[in-house]
Amino acid sequence: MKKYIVLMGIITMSFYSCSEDTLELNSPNDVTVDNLLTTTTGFEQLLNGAYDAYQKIPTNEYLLTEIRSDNATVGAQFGSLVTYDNFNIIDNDVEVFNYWSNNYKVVYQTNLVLDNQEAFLTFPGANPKVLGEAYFLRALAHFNLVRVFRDVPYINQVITVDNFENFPQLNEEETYAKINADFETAISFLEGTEISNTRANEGTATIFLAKSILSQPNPDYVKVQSLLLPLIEDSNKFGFRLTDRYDDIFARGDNGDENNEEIIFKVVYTQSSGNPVTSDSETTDQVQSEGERWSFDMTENGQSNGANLATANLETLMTSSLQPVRFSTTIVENTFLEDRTFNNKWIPDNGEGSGNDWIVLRYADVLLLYCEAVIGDTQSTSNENAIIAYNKVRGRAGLDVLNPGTDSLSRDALLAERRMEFVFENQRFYDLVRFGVAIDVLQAHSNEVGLFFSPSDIYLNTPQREVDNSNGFYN
Amino acid sequence: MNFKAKLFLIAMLVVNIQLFAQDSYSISGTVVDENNLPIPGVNVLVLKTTSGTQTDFDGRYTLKVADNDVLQFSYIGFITKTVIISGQSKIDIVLTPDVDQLDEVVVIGYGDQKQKNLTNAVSKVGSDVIEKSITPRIDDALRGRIAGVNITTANTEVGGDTRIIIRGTGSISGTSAPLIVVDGVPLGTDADLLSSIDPNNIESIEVLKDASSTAIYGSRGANGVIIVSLKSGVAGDTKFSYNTYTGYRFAKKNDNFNPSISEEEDRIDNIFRNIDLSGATAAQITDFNSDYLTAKSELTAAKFIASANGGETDWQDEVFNGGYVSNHSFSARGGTELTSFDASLSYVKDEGIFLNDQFERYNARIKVDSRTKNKKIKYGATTNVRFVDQDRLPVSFIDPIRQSPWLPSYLSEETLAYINPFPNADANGLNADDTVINGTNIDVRSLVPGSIALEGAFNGYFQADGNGGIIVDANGVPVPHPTYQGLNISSTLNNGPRSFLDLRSQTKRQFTGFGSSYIEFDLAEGLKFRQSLSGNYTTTRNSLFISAFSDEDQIIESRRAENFTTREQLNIESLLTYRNSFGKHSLNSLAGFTFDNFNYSLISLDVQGVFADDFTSNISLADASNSPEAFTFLGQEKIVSYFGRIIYDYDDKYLFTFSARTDGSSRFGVENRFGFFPTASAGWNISEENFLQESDIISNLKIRASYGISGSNDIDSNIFNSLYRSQALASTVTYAGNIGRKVTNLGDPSLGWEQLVESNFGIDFGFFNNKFSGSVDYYNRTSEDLILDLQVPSVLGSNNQLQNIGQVKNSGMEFQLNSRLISRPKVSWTVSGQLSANRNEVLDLGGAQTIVTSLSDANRPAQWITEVGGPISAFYGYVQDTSKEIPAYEFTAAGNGIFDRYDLESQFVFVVDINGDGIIDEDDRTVLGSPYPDFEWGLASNFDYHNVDFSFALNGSHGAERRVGDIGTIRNSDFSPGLINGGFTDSNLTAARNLTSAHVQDASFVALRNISLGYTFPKPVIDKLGINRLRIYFTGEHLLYFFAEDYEGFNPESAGTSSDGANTPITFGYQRGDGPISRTMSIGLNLDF
Repeated sequence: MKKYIVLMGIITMSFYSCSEDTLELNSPNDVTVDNLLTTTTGFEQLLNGAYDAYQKIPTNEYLLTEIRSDNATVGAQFGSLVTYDNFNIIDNDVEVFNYWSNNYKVVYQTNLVLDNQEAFLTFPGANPKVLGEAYFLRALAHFNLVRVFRDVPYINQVITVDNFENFPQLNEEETYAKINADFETAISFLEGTEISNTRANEGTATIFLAKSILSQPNPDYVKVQSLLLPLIEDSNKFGFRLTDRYDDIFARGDNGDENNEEIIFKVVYTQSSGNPVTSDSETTDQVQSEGERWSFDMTENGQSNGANLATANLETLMTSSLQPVRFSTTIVENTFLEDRTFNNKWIPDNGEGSGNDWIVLRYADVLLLYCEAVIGDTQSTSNENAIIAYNKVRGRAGLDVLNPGTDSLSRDALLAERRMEFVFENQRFYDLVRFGVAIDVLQAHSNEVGLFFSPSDIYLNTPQREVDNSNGFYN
Repeated sequence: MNFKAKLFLIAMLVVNIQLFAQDSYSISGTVVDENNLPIPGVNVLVLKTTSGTQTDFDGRYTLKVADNDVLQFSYIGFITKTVIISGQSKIDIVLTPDVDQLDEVVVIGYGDQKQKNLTNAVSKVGSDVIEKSITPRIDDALRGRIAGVNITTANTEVGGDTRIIIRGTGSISGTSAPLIVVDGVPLGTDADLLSSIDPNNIESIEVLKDASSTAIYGSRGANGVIIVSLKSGVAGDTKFSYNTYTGYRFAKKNDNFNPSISEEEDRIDNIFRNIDLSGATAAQITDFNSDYLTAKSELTAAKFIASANGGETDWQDEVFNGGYVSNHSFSARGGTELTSFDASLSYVKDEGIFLNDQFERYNARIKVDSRTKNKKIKYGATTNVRFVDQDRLPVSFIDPIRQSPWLPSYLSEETLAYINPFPNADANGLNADDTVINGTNIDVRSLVPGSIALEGAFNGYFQADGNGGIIVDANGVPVPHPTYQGLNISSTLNNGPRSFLDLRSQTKRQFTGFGSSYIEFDLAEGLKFRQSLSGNYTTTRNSLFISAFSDEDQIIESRRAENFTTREQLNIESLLTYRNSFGKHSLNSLAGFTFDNFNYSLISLDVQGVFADDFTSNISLADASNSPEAFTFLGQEKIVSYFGRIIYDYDDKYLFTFSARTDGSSRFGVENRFGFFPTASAGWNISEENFLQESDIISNLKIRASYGISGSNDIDSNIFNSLYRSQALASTVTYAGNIGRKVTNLGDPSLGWEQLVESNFGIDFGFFNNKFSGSVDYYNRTSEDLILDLQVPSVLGSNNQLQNIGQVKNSGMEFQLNSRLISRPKVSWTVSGQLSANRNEVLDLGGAQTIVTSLSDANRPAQWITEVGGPISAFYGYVQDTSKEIPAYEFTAAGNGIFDRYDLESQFVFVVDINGDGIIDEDDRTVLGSPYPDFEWGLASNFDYHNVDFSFALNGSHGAERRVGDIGTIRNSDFSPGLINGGFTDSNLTAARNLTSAHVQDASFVALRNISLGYTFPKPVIDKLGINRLRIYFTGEHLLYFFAEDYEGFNPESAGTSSDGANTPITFGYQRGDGPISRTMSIGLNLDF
């Protein structure tokens, strides 16, 4: 019998000799993070991943900013969409949570790069601008967060479930200090880099630093002026300047010239079929197309009959007679079911998969931010640089300009100008906050339309899901 | 070792096995049952030797014997008989049925065992039950048949998958689906694996329930094991059978949906009559009155359209239109003493109850077993090919069940007259460009008789007369609005439901090839070695076509998608078994080694902007305005296992089983790649003891206990999400033309198995010569190291991370009772019943006390809570305060009020301030119900009277709840302008209705699963026709089905997958768009010749 057993053993082994090899299998679909951190290309790709992650930010930012302002409303008077408009956002709102988590996802990708920057710099051919861009994106994501939620944790390293409690929510001042520091570090790494409006460079970081300082409590107006003045005096410094025609800024879709010189920083999308980028598109989707849906959402066919429609209040101000140039760029008149006014800045070119780039910041903002810094805590200014800057924006819009040297520019006029210039560009809500009039203006707007605004609505609560998942550490 | 050498060794082995001849002669005879009917397939063995045979179809056998040999005649279900040979040349035997069937053999993992000596919790369902069921899926036939096995419907389409849970949900992220083993090969846990198996081929289905029985399957056994054993050949004349049935499926209408115009009229009249306007402002009263009149006018207009269409449309009749099911199965079984075979062919076509679902399956199978003449070497092979061709439902039923009854399916000359020719017209007058219906981009000029009707096309045509009617001319014909801006009567801007059904298609074609072969050597008495090699190959092609005019989002582009998956499995298994008795000691042991290698692939093509809006299925670059979205997923998995088991009993009294398995799997991290799964169990057959052996009352009594650990490697129901998860991974993305890598998985190198630790205590009993028999089981199972895709703080950079965390306990009782009330030669009546109750409790969530999960659907943010101390998922939210109603006049005016005919419910309701702090906030949420039943039961009865047989099976489930999401959809409370006017003072005491208890309903039911009446033609009649057996029967399924009183949905058993994020283990019990119960009446024929 022994013989048989030996025999069986031999037969068996001959079958299994092939299977003795390893259970160590690597994914044929993905690369490991450890691998990426061993080459400069890997670092660059992780940085590109951070930009890619940033594509989700504009997908719902307008819900939390423009629709909550007096500029825009939504088509349907039902569903969750209307809650942004009427200040009834629930604590477990999906979009609010997505905005929070999508920004921290950007932060995470940048931290993978920044945590390993010493190693990176030892690689031959390592370009420090990779680090500068990572610092920039990390600062920008936190800048988004602090303006929506105010008290947020500043995450500046890769963290785990075991140590996240070392990163408590900071107050506004502390957060802005860290944002500004990151922008400054970015500037130092990016010095002399090639100018681009799709990737961070010295100019981009400088301008965002200025805007961040202006947005913080007790801004250092002098510093902002000094940061922006070179760009005002030499409108071609860093290559950014106003386009001749207002409408040219919004070259819609992939076919127009989306690379016009006014755009300082934009988020790039490319027309495509398939799943567009949305606020909750799965990170694990093997294919995430580069098309966007937000511009489609803003049309009559989009999110429940359209979002980002002009409010009645805006309709009275944004008319073809009052705004001879900006009106036709801003508004498309449409009569679908009821009279509603759709925005014309972001007309989709391919339905749910359009290629409109989202303009985060453009040169007109630089001009007006400079005016804002000059006015500072006062009510008006007659500073000539400021007046000229203001006039450039006004002039292009076909409106009366001020007389440098004699006329003065008031806070109210500046705010009103910003409103008309940046309708549907997610500026209005933060403008109101920076100008210190948010509560007054929004309360009046709320009373007029019959909404539920209360002063505590200026900042959104920490998303319920984050509160729950951190066992109440974040609240 | 090369092939030649192997052959040589095998040849040597054959030669070495000696035959010991003796003075022998031939003996023959016939084996019959009490009714003198021949029993084929009886094992006739010469004890203490290896010679033996089986009876053929006429019950005849022939065998070489010698004097003093002991012949044993055994057959499942009959009492074994032995005869000592003393010169007889002919021995005829009458076998009597073994009433208690305790000698029945039960298939267990990698072997079998006498039921009488089982120490584990194993349930068996025979082919008789499965054959009686009119279903293309074997798992549907198991509903309500086995204590502790809960089967819900994951997809209501015909052939759609079920969700099988054995002894409660034990996993939070994984599927908790049992392992499916077919013909000894562990295939996997995907319910889809069961859709391709032909019920006609099944010999028996065994369900292994406790860890002690499943641990032999190691890392894949934790959620129970379903062993499907297919039929084998029988020696004797070839026997042919033909089985067929044909039936009709239908659904019952649900009156909670699709209210008629007059019901709608009554509803708004009631609101108008009964409202208390004392709290309303003058403006609200004005609005309220005008809304009421507008609504009345709209209904008047609706009646005109309905009457032009010849009556209201019954949308449920339209889409739940019934269908035929038919099955043809042909088989041949036979063989010689040494070689037997079973071959079968079958075809089933099931049209389902829905308008466009259909399931067809073709199955061909052959199984051959052969032995060498000395019977020392056995060889066998099975090949089985199956082809499934399925028209799947292209949509869920959300649209049809909320559609207005006035809307025609298709336009006619008469209804076309009420189409608004200028749907885009505005106050500035009519414009030739205003002919396109916004939202669908359908040009009304293109509408002709026969076009699919859509509600939006009728908007604006009719004008209200200010008194609740519409303006008509002298002949009573409605006068159109001069600028076509009249009444807005649509409830939805989507295209008509017919468009989703007619202009979309979704098909699934699946090919399965299963091949297996083995060689088995008898090494010594009781010692066998078996080497087998099996392969299973499945390809599935899912095709989708969506016409431009059938898209809910109204993207004006056609879409076509192809999704092609393959699943390859190679299984190598070596088994050494030793089975023998030494006096009173009997041993049944095995040692084995298996290796599995799986390869998975997915190829997906998805293109939008197809030029040709037709049902061809070619995807070419030219079709798309953009390049198709194309991607692949690839995956490989390996499992290496060693296992062993010893089953020992002493004198059939004291029973012991020990088993252990070690599994290594490529799914897990380096630190936890290997798992060890030991188990032990013991039993005591008390009735074998002297003091009970003579008892007239107790004929059988056994107590047993088991303890074991088994594992689960099921991370996610999507196989590609289960592989490589221990590593931190980044996928490739592009941004502005640059390649980027985005981290998709944070990784955890210590990721390992889920473990199930279970103890089971049972009593098996039989009284009065087993007239009454049964068993009681108590189990306590703790699932540990649960693999949880834990929601982590998003500041980490990911919303989730897989971790081995948490514990869930399931404990419960199972009762099984069988009785043979009448057991006489021509009359028998058996009744069996089972009852089970399971309690599910979360013990640990890795530090967290609760996990609250919301549907990702922003308009229906229904919530669940997973809480330590509570069940794994429970409905969560606010408690509706039904004592107060928000006055209808508080809803916003301008046509967006409660009088909008489609807004049957307000979005907001008053809720209970649970913590009494005067405000309604998150802290007022509470548990609203559980999706798991308190208890379930089944009752089956078989009655045979001469040639007539009658049987039925009842099944009930009590105490489970469902969140019936359909109600929110059809009453529009998910969407309705639930907006309360800013001035409404109590608005802070309300919450969105779909976050409250409003739609959580009792899903208890009692179902008549099956009722069947058959007639077997008497033998003298059919003998003349050369037929062995001819039976005709009638079967009804679900002819009676009772819901709980407050249940308003379609199917309490369904928990469909139409909503994103619903019906995962922690969001269980959500219904939306699921179809109704399928009821069937059929007639069938069994023919053996």
